Amino acid sequence: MGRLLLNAVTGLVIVFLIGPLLIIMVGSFTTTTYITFPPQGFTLHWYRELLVMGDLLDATITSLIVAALTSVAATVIGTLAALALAQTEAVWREQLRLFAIAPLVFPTVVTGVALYDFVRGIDLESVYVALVIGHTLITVPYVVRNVGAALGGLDPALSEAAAGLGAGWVRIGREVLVPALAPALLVSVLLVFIVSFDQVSISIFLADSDTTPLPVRIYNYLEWGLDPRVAAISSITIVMAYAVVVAVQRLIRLDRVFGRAG
Amino acid sequence: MMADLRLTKRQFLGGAAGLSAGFLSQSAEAATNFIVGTFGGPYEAVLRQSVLPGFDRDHNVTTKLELGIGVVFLQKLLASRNRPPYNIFVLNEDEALVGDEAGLFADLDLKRIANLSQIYPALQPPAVKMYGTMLFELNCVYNADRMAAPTSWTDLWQKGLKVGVAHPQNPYGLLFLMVAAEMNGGSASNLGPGFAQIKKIENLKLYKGVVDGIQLFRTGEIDVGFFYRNRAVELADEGRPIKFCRPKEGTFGHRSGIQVPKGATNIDVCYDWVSMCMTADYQRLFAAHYYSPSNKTLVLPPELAAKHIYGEASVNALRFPDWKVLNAQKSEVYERWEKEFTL
Repeated sequence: MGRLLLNAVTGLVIVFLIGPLLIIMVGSFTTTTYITFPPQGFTLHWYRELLVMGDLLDATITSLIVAALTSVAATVIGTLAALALAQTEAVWREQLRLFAIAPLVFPTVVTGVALYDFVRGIDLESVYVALVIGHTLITVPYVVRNVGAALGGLDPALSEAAAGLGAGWVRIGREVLVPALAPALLVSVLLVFIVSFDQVSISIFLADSDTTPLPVRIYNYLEWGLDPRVAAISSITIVMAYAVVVAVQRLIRLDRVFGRAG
Repeated sequence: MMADLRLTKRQFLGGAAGLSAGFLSQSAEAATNFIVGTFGGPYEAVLRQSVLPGFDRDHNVTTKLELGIGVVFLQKLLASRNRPPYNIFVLNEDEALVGDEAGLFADLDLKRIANLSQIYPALQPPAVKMYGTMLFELNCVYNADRMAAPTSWTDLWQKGLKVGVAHPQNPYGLLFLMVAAEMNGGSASNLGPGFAQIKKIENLKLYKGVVDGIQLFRTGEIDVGFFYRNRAVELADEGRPIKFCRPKEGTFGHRSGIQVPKGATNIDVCYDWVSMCMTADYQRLFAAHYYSPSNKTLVLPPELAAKHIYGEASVNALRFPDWKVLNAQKSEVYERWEKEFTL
């Protein structure tokens, strides 16, 4: 009975997680001018429309660039912060840790307005740089948490032994810490990439007419109606994300990575 | 002047080597760029397809569209310290009041705006703090398969009806709260009684915005609501049994238009853009997409005219609420709404 209940709950969870994605994907083939499920008829018209609409392709590329750069910046900064926290005296550690994850507490809309004010104030012309700064600000806490947790489970004797054998900090970092933290770093990179790629509320203030990330572009469509083109671009994004996960799984066994990072 | 090393996406695809240089040195708005903050969706599509090619050619500019909504445009202007990111932007009448009070708009010479006299007086300054380009009627939208046309707003309180009520962050949500308040002894300046009145609706379906409202009508989850006439027409054109009607207490107009920010560059081109938006030819393009015109000389075919709030008599019959009074209560209303209703 217990097993039956577990299977039923698991099934429901899967339906609720996968269901919306399937509705969007199937709905993208509708012949109507609005998204409907089940779709009426079958057409690839909305996918052909995407090819004509260069701006959606541009927006996708913008999002990929920003997410990739944010992944690097946030992972480097967050890892250094986590290492610093691990070495901080216990009495200060909790206060500093709260400070490091503070961006998660603020509403991102407020952060977006403040960032826009800031980038205009310092005459920062590059929207790309502004977007990467904004996305890095809100994703560093994820890295601090992930890497911090991995550091907590790391035997300090490893670093001490390396130091005792004459290794400097750079060599300890390269040959001891990075390999030991690799799973957490990889998880952090993936998580940051996803959060950045999906970011709307900060990006909406920082984007301009030349540089608009995909979620902002989609949001602007959704303000005016459930256009099947949005379903089409969403479907492509879903398939791309799935392909990335499958590729990573094939290459480096994602389950092991997540298992060890946790 | 700084060299234009702007990175395009095609350059990025062509070779990642150029990334760092282009990434760090995107130049400021080029002298010939003309930036228009505008709505997305069909509005944007009309601009791109039918307006920009001719305008750019005639004015030797490259018009770029930044998509968004008035409240975001205003926030960006406030943060821009007299260096506005737009030459022109769109907004609604309630937002225009906020921008005007904050001193964000250029003081244009109305005599230089050609065709302004062709606009309904209710959509020109000083009646509104913007140059009105289109008008929306907010009326009673209902499912004709489920009910007869309501004759009074009080009909929405009939038992058994599923009534859609929008969040008051939307103009129509706030106005419905005002309608409810008026039914319960309140007014535009005293919206409190509206909360209690809305709670009396038996089958209340709260929703967040236009897209949600349309879907609720499509799926039959609501029978009736205070909604946009043009959206009702859009649903009817899809073959759905959705109609609109005018309760005896009256229906409301909501005005939309454009403004030029204080400190905008290319001011002569700004004048030309505003003048173009006032013309019947420009507004005819949008009338085909459910946007009702503000130009009183525009002649529409009868079938299309029937879909719009159209003609001076119809426009004058609309109620235009005092948004100055309503704007002043927004924060308090939102806070109370979140406490008393949860989505």
